[in-house]
Amino acid sequence: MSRAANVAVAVIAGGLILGTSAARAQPGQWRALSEPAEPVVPRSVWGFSLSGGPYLPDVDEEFGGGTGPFEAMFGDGAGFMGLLEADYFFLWPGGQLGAFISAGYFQTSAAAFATDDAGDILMGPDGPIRSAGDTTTFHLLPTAAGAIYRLSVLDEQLSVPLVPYGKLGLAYYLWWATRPDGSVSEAGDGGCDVADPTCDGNRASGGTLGWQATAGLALRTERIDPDAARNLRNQLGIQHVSLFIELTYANIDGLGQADRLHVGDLTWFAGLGFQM
Amino acid sequence: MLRRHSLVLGAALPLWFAPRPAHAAELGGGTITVEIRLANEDGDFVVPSAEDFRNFFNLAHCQCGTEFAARMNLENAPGAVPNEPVEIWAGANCDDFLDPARNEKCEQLDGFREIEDLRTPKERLISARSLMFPNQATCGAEENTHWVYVLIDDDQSNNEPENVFQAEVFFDTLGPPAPENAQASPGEGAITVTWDLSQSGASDISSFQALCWRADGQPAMISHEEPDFETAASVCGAPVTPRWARASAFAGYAMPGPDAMPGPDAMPGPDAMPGPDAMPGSGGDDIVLDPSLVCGTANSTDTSLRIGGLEEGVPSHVVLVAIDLAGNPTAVDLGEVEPRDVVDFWEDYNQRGGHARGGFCEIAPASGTTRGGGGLAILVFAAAAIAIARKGLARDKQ
Repeated sequence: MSRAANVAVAVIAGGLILGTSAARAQPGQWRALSEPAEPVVPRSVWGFSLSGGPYLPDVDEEFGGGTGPFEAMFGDGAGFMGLLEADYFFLWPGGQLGAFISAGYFQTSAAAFATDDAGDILMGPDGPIRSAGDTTTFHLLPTAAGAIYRLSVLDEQLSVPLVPYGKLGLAYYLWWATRPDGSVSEAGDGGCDVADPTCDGNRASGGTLGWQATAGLALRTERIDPDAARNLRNQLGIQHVSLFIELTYANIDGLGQADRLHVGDLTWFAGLGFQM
Repeated sequence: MLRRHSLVLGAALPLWFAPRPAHAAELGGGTITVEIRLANEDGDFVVPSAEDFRNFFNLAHCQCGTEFAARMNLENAPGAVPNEPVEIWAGANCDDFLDPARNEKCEQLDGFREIEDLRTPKERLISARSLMFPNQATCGAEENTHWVYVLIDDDQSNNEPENVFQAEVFFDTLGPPAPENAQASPGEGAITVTWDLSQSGASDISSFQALCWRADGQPAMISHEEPDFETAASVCGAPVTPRWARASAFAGYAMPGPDAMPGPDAMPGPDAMPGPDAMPGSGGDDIVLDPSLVCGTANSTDTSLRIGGLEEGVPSHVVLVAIDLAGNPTAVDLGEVEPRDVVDFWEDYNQRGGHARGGFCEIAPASGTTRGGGGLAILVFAAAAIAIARKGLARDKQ
């Protein structure tokens, strides 16, 4: 994730805490020794998170070494993927066990390759010559569902505001690639011209099944300002606000199907999570 | 001719027509109002909107000599007014009878025998050229302010008119600055036109438009876009060429390095470009900006325009037109460009032997290449999730 995005996440979290803290603060307030102890925080059942990070679909994996078509067209730099996730917890064996669903979006664009009169890609000294103004775009819409376990006992019993967690799930990544005019690209089987009615076209839109595993660490921010956290809990029903970073391995290759586009990656995401 | 703008009286319009009574006393406190009116689609002369007003007094209407109406009316006058003739002039400083250059700056039009004739509103049709370039056969290129004068010389002294009423008209016959570094590049069923905004006069630009036509002169594509510009040809069918700028265009792909670029000798230099009165590509005939050839429009701040829907392999002649706020065009000829196929990501992937096929079916793909692992995994995963959830719910109930 970019530095700017990291800063944005931190600012949002800080704003939430400081904002609720300011709303609560009253001059002259003091806490009596006889004030009852902090009530037990109820179990969180729902969790939501917003995150983002670098992503580079492993399309070229099937081509072995060297520069594959994805790198040739879009370069070897990762793009940005944003993710939304919802969690539902129903068991608490030393932590939180539940299910998650997530969805995100990623896209990358580049100028398409120019061709000569024979239809072959024009080559220059630095590689294929691009046709300025003819943009081709690759879109990826990842979805996933699976199990999540959060080891919240560290925070709840040892007062260490860190929550390691893991996720394992099935994933289905939707993808599509577009031509310069914005329509979904299509290639002819065997190199035939898709304009020919006898040519079988292969449209550049589909989905690839796979699995993904995630290991992450969340920092529960309520210990930074317990009073603000109490306000969030009382006013909005938010039990925990967490900053998190996670490592994800997405093996999205069709689970054995040979004709699926490989779009997985090993990457990291960072974001902000809420538990209610 | 009123263009496609609605006829709404703008708030600023009264300022344009404000009369300037010099010696209203001779009219007994009365005044003569002078109001500029333009013809609408029905041929009726009506008070124009500010935009219609600005678009009328341009080069095209000057060259065509399109007529507008000056509506005059004697108002608030007593029962009887002096029986004096009313002179009507168009130009600048027409009320200065002693100016020796007056006849070069002013053109006298048909007046009225006596002031009483204006007791009821009267209209005089005036050629746009007479107002903008009085007593001249051709139209120049300038931005200026002229007036329609109503003059009454009570004592017939020919020294100074005792009563002066006038309506002010700002006109613009100067084309906008040409876009710089304009280029047209071939694309997939398209041509991409790029340019840089001129450093001077850019605020006078209202839009850019591209015109495309094939070798046979037919439009390169079916377009329903209206032209934002006017030429004498489009206004009155006059065979007058618009202002052409010298093109700096090179139609081709941007090459990766300076070494690969054609040298200056290979580029069309200024001397090789045609003058303002003739453009190449039509056997020596002038190219007229035909409104039916408009194939793309860009805003005043845009620096590129993609013209889609073109047939690949068929060259199109492309002209980029800068249009100012008065509708005057300045055209840059970009020559012929042939749309070519490009290779996008998916085509390149397939050409390299990629195995993936499009489609969303996971359980029983038509290709038969699946080993069925995907569907089985989904079922196992779903069963496990349901079992865990039921266990959790059961524990909650206890």
